[in-house]
Amino acid sequence: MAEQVFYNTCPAAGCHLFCAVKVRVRDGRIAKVESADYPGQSGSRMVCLRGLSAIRFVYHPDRLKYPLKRAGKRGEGNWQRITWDEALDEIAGKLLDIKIKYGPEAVKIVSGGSSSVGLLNGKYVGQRFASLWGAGGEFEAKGWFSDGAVPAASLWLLGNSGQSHPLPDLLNSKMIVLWGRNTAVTNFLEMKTILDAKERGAKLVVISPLFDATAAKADTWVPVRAGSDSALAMAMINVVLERNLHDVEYLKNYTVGPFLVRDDNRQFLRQAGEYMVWDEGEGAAQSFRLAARPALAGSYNVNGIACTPAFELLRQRAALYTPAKAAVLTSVPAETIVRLAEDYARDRPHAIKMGYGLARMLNSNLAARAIITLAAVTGNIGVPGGGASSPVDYKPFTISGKPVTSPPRAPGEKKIPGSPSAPRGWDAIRQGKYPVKALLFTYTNYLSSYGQLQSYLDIFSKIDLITVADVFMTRTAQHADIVLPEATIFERDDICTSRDFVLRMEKAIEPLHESRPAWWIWTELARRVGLGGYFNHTAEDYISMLLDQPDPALDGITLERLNLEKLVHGNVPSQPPIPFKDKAFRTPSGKIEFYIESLADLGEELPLHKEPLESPRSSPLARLYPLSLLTVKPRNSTHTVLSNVDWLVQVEPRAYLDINPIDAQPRGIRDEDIVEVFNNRGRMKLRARLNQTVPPGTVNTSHGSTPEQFIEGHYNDLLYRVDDIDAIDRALEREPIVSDLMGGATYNSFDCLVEVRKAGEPK
Amino acid sequence: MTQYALVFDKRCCIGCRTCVIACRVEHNLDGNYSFINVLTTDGAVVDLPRGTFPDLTMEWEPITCMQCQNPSCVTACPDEAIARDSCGVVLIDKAKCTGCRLCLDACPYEVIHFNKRENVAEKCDLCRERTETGSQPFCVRECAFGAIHFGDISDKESEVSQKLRGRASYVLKPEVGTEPSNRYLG
Repeated sequence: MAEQVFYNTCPAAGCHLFCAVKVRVRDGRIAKVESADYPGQSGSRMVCLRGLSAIRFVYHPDRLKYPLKRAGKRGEGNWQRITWDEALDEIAGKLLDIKIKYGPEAVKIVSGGSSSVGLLNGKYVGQRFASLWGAGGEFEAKGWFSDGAVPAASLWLLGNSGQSHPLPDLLNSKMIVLWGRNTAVTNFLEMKTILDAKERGAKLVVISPLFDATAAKADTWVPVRAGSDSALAMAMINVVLERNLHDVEYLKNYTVGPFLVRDDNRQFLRQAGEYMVWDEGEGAAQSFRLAARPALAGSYNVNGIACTPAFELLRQRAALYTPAKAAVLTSVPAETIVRLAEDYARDRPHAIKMGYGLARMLNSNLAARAIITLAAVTGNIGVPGGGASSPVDYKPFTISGKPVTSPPRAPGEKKIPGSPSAPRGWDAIRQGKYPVKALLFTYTNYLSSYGQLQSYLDIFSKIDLITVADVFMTRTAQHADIVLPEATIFERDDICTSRDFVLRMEKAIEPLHESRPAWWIWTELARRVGLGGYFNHTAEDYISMLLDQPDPALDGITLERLNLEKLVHGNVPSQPPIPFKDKAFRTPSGKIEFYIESLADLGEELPLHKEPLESPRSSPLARLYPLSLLTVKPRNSTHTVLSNVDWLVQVEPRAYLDINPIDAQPRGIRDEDIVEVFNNRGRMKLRARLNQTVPPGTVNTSHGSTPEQFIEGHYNDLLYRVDDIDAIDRALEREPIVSDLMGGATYNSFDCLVEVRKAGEPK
Repeated sequence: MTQYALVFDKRCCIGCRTCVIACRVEHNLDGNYSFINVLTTDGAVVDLPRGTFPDLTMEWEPITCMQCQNPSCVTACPDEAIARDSCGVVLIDKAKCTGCRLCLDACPYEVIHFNKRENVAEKCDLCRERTETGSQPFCVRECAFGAIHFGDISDKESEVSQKLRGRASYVLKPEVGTEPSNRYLG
């Protein structure tokens, strides 16, 4: 049989790049996956080791092959094979019982996680079911469960949580600063652009606690202690201001720098609703709109109210962070801090790109705020080649799910009252304040990537029915009552966006074994619970619904065209915009709000350094557990997707604990020894790899490893509880953060103290 | 005479191993091996840096058959199973190979693999099936960073020759005298 070629993307595209690939099928079997060209953009195709390994994912011997029903206690690992009809009938029957007893909102549906790929199967069809059923247990916090701190800072300061310079703009930068971002491992497209920029003369600065592949390519690597980025950024602001390297005109025109802050209540001084500044020409307070010479320094008395310009307060705050003091907090030598700050303030523009790694600890929103403030005082925001970009990639357009997820007259999903953050939502479920009796997961592996295992088991004990649809028996599936084999992206029809294109994800082979696409599972379930009338659609029907919505970006893109061309350019400007080029900020004042009056009651109106919750410097816990445990992303998986694929494990073996010899020697630990890592929440056993990529005081193991890759336990057993109220960043539980799609949240996977002891010799 | 070769640009290599996986895809390599590997040079062991925290360096160097112009594997083979073709590519004729493994010992770069199942020696053939039809070797095609280039280094106008012009390049182990064709841009 002749070779057939289908288009698709990478099964690990939870990296959010969604690289287009061609899938070559011979004799009904996928023979090869390779990068696909983007029309009119020669040389821009790309796929990485993850996508190329897709065949080992599809034909993995451990794939779930048929529906399974628990045959012992939850988590025991005893399963009974059942038919699809049996599985779906049983699930439907229980859902209907729960609906009668507790109402439809006692069913919580998690349709896809951060590694889901494909708009329909990955997310929208499940959401359609949830919306028509009237499911509940949603959190008021709209954003992600973690990763919200940098978007929140972006929203507060700049009025846009997802602000990010388009990649090609990096070529306009003289210096690129990657802050808490291992781009060489997590974002190949960005790394390629950075290397191109380097060839053109840009300097690369990498600020990261670990010496990673990105640090290896840097001109300057700044080994900041994990969780001390705010101190580093504040000290850099200090150096900039001390040396008068700040941009005075920029501060006056585009920031709240001249706004007068009342000494009594830390709020901006307003008169007749107007923000007031001190006009040095008039020698009097004036509306910021009218003042010709607004003051940035000094302190003033306006009608008996003592006031100080916000910039003066920032200067005073930054003065607390001398390079010498910051050197103690950050482990970065004072002279490095001074040189970095001077370089960053001079010879602009310079780009900062922040990473999620920056923000996986309590109080990290303060670090992101300090970094954006640093960019603002040096006039690096709203200029080509500049910016302090949020971790998300610039996306020219997205495809709203509304036509699929919100059919007319659907009751919609109910939220848990009083859940402005995910931990409060989980806490309410665990305590039974909001009764969730059924939890339906598709392609979501919380138990390996987010929150301590025991906390889930406590929550699950309140739940009558847990179902998981996935490709493998994940740790989440191991604790379910019914497990359904889901088809991979190569076995179903779907679409996604890929850069500035819509990409047709084509079914290349029939679903293997008895696996079925997610949309089929939801459809069959709907038929059994009386919602079948809403699900008389094929995958292609849903694709048409998405494409037919009135969105200018989708003008002229039809299913027929997509089926023919596979990749169709969205109707978007060919020159992507520079964020804030017009210096219009959608903040309350319209200016860059490095001073946030709504956080004055927390004492966080200006950025400052606060240690994480579990700090080796300040936590009493550190006497027992002196080491910080990081779980950084490796190059051979996206979250847990692909982490069990043999070719990729061979490239980078799992699971290992990276430990510096300075920490290993006093504990009698040698290379390849079995070690036990433990704290007050849990333990894991794995092999030690003595090396210098981690500083003394910090240990690391790759995120995404499966339980089977550990000798005992799993890193998740050591992390915070998913319902830990003490771990919530209170500032992020407020508006406008709670209602923002990217802000919010609270789960801090890098905030974790541990101790390590030797537990065995190498084999 | 035509001399096909690979030119590796180390400035562009981030050690990602996409080339390693590409090789396994193209040649359908089931075992835990590939005809191209990525060495961590200037580092202690694989993917670990040299030095003491925080004074560290790390670089990578892809390594595969060097397409030597004076190949020691050809001389070592008692069965005349290895020869250079008209494009200067060193090829193993599996039909003639008896699995004696003398070529493995003779190769100073340790890039010949012994396939136990088929009892034959195997190595990089620069994806001959692809290059014969005008395509590039698969690792070259899929390297996301343009760190691997393929072409005729004897042709002054070829892309690889232009790539080499004006930049310092080197070959690995020139002292062994096998006249390797693959080159590295530092």
